Amino acid sequence: MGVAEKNVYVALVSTILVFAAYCLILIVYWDEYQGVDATRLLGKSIFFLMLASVMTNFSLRAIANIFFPPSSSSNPSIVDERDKMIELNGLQVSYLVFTLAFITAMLTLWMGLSVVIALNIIIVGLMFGEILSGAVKIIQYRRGF
Amino acid sequence: MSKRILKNNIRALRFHQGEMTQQQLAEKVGVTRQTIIAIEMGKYSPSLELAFLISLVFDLPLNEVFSYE
Repeated sequence: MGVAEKNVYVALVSTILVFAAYCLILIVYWDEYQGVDATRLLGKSIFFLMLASVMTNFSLRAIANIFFPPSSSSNPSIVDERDKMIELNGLQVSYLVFTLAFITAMLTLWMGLSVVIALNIIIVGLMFGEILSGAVKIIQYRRGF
Repeated sequence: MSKRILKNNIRALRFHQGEMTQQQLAEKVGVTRQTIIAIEMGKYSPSLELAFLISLVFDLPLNEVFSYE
């Protein structure tokens, strides 16, 4: 397994963990997200979500390098054409999912639902897009394309 | 019309080239060992430039390293 492929696994696991934690927080504090201060609370949640994503990713990457150190023959600085092609394919998938989430969010606003719901749909779309992108990349690394 | 696939005999050529390892070939053409593995297993079709670089390593024309059948 190359360095780029290992980073894909790490990113996928960290996104799933952060996504699960965010969904849990949404469910637990759902009533407060419908209150008067909902948008302020949502902004605060998303800010901490971004911080948590970065910290989780760095931590998992460090743990992965400890338990699965790169072999002496692998060169982490090489990101070759296959890695770039797989990265591009993953990006296409995440953009598609995000676009669908964005359109859905706008539709909910048009239907008269709250801004909090629309923003949450966009956030979930972003995270789900990243998860799907990671899965597609792993399939392409394993099975080829 | 049956689908054509890109085949190669890089593995055999490496063996005949003084038992060159995948890592050595990867370093010569500037890619990772995993990419060479994927090319040999037919899981990845290299770009034209990479195909030419691999052929140059073995000092053979392109159609003796790769075939499109």
